[in-house]
Amino acid sequence: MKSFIKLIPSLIIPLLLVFTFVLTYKGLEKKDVIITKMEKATNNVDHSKFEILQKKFETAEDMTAACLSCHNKRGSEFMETAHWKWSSPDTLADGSVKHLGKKNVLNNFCVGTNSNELLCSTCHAGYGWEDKNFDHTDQNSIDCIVCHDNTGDYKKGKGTGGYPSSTVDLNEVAKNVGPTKNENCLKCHGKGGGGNNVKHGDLEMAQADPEVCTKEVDIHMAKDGADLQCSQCHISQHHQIKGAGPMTNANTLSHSDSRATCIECHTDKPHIKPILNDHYNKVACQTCHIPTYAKVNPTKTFWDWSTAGKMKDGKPYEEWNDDKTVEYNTKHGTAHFGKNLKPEYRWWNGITDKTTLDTKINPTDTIDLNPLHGEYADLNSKIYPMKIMRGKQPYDTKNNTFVQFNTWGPKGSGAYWKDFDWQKSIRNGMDYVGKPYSGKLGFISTRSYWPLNHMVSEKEQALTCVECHSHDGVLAGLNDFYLPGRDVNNWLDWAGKLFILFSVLGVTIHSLLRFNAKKKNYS
Amino acid sequence: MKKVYIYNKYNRFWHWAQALLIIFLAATGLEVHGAYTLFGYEDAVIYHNNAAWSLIVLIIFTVFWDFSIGEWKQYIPTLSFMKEQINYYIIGIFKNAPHPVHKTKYTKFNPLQRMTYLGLKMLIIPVMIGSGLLYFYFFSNLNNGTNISLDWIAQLHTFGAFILIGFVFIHVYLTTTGHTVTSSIKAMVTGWEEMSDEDAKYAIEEGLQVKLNEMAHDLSSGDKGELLDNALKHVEEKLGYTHEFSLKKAVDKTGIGYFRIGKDGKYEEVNEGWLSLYKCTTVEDIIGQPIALNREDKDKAVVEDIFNRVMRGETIKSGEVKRICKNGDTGYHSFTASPVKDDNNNIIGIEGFIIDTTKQHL
Repeated sequence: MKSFIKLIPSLIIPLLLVFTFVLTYKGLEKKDVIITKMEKATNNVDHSKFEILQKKFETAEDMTAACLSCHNKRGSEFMETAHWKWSSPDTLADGSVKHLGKKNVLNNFCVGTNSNELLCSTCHAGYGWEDKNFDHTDQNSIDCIVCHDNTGDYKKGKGTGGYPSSTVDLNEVAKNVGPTKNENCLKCHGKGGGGNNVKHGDLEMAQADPEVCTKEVDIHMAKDGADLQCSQCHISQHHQIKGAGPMTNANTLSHSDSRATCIECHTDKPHIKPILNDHYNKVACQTCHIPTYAKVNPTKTFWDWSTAGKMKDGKPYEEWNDDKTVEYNTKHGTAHFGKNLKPEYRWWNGITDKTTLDTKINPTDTIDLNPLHGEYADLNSKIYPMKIMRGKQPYDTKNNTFVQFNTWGPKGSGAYWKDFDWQKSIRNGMDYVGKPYSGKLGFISTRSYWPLNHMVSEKEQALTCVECHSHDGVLAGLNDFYLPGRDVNNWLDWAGKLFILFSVLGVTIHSLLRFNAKKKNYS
Repeated sequence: MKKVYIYNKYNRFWHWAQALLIIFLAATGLEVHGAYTLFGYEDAVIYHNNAAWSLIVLIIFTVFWDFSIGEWKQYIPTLSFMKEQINYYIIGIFKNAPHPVHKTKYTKFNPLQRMTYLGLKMLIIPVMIGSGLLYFYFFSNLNNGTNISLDWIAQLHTFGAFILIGFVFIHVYLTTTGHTVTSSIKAMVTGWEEMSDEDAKYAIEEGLQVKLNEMAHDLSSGDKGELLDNALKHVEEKLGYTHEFSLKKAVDKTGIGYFRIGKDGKYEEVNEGWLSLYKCTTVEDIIGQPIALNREDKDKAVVEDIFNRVMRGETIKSGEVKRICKNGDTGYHSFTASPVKDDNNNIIGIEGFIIDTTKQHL
C-alpha cells in the first residue's frame, strides 16, 4: 500500500494526465460558421390596386402585356434565360461552347421534348410553344405568372403548349403576383419526368407543404428547420437563376457561380471537429448530409421503353404495385420506383458530357447519357451522392444514334401514346428535327446521373465515418484510391498476422518449456 | 535475494507512458485499419492522433533525457556476450543457469536488448512517426490541392505497427525471465529490482565504480587517489557507513598485515597482508590458532605478555617481534596492538598492524 502511494506522484498522475489529453482533445477548433441567411423576398407592392390589372384579360398574352407595361425591361431580360430558351451556352470538356438544354439534350425518362412540345411546354415559362415554329422573340408569350403566382390557383393546361388551364381567373392571379415561392418552382422542378418526384428524387411537392416537410425530410425547407425559400439559395439577377443542373444545364467550370453551393452559407469549415472539415476537398457536403432521398414519395429509378406497347385484350393497360407505383404501362413500358433510397456515390468535378441526337454511341455498352467527369486523382473532383436513373430506350442500330420519337399527338398521327407504333413515332420525331433514321430500331441500356442536393437531413442523420470507412461501406464501389478502414494490402495483412501469431506461439512454447524444465529441476 | 534500484522516476514514467500509448495506438490503429469496431471510427481516429502527438512529445523529451544524462550509451550495440545471451535463452534458461549479463542501473540491457531497442529507436519508431505524420498531413495536402497516394504511406505505417505489436508480445514475455517471473515488471513499476546476491553485489560495485570514476573524472589533476580515498572516508563517516572497506583496501595495497585476536588468545581475523608475511595460503591455516603458534620458544612468553597488557587496556604503538613462517622461514616485523572493545566498552580482544622489517635485520 505504501509503495503504491509512492507511485502516485511519480507514475500514476503523469500517466493520467497523458491519457486525459488523449481521450478528451478533439483538435484545435477550426469552426468558421457564418450562416449568411439571405433575406426573404417581400412583396412591397399591392398589385390588386393597379388599374391595368382590373381590365378583363381575354388572353394570357394580354396579361403578360400588362405586366410588361410596367416591368418593361424584364421581358428582354427573361428571354436570355434557360427557363425561356430551354438551352444555355455550355462549355464542354474540350472547351467548345454549345447551346444545350431541355430543347436538345436527351434523357432516359421521356427522352426528348422535340415534337412533343404541346405536352412538355406545360413546364415552359411561356405560352404557345406547340411546335418548332414557336416565336421565341414575342415578349407577350412569356408566362410571368407560373413563377410569380402567389394564389396557388394558377395552373397550366395539359397538352396546351403552356397556356393556362381554362379554369384560371387571369385577373385574379395577376392581382396576386409576388416573389416566387416554393410551390412555383416545384410545380415543374418537382414533377419532372411525368409526376411528383419522378425525376430528381430529392425535389418534390412535399417540400412546399409545411405539414409534410419536416426537418427529417428537408432541413432547409422545413418550417421547423431553416424555413428557406428556393430563391434564397437559388438567387437570381436579371432573372438568371443560380443552380445549373448536370443534365441539361451549364457546367460549373465555365460558370463558376452558376451553381448554388452549401459553402455560400455554411463556409468551407462548418464543423467543430477539424477532422470533418479536412474532408472538404474530396467529399461534397451532400455526400454525408443527404444519406437518403425520396423520403416522402417514391421516385422513378428504372424505365424500360422496350417493353412498351403490350396490349391486354387489344387495349393498353397498366399494372400497379402495392405502394401505388406503376410497374407496367403500355405507354411507357416497365418502371421501377423506390422510396427512402440510398444514393450511389461518384467522383465528379462538376463537368458532364451531354447526349443529343448527334451523339454517336457504342451500342456494346450501357450508355451514360451525361457521363460525369472526375476521378480521385483530379483535384477538382469530389465524391457526390447521385440518383442514378437506369433504363432502356430506342436507338438507331445502323446509325448508332439515339432517336427522338413522338409521343404526344392525336390518334392516327403516329404519336406513340396513341398508336403504339415505334417506327411511325420515331419517323415523326426524326423528321421533325431533320435527322436521319435508318429504320433499324433497337433498345439500349442507359444511365443518367442526378446529383442530389436537396432533402438535406439533420446533422444527426448524416453519414457516420464508418459508413464509408469500412470494408462493405457505401463507397465499396469507388475503387480508385486508398480509403482507410476499407482498403488493406492483403499480403501485408497476412504477413503481419503471421508475424504476430508466430511471436505469440514462440513465447508460449518457450514458456511451456521453461515451466517443464523447472518442474524437472525440482524433482 | 536483494533489491537494487535500477529505474529512476522519469525512466519509469517514460516506459509506461510509451508502453500504454503504443498499446493504445495499436488498439485505435487497428480499428482505423478496419479490423474491428471498438471506440467508433471517428473517436478511434481522434484518439489515435492525440496519442500519436503525445508519443512524439514523449519521445522528444526522452531523447533529450537520454543525451543529457548519458543514458544513450546504454544503447550502444555490442557483440560481447551476444552469443552467451542467445545461448541463455535457448539453453541456459531451461537449466536454471545464471544470467550471463548483470543488470544494473548503468547497463540495463543485455546485448540482445541493446540491439533490439536501438533498432526500435533508430528505425521502427522513426518510420512510424514519419509515415504517421505523412498520413496525418495527407488531409492538409488534400486541402492544399496536391495529390499524393495514401497507399504506400498507410501500408508502411501498417507494416511498422505489426512489428511493434509482435515486439510487445515478445517483450512482455521476456520480462518474465528475470530473477523471478515478476521481478522485472515490479522493478519497472517501483524502480527496485529483485536479483540474486551476486547480481546485487555486482550492481552495487558497478554503481560505486561509476560514481568514483565520475568523481575522478571531475578532478582535473593532482593526487586523485588520496583525495578520493579521503573524500570517500569522510562521506562514509557522514552517512554512517563503516569505512572499513576503504581502509582495508588501502592496507591491502601496501602489504600491511592486520590481525585480530579474541580474548581467549586465539586468532579471529587476519588479512591478505598478514597471510603473505606468514607465508600462509588460506585463513584457515591460522584462524583459531593460539597467539604463540608462530614464535620461537623464547619469544612465546613475550607475546603472551604483550597480549595480556593490551587486554588490560594498554595500547602498544610500536614493537617488533620475530616470526616463524608456515614453511619454517623466519622474519621480523614491527607491530601495533590495541584493544578491541564492544559496545559496552568491554575489551573483547586485541588488534593491530604488522609491517615487515626483515630487511633491516640482514
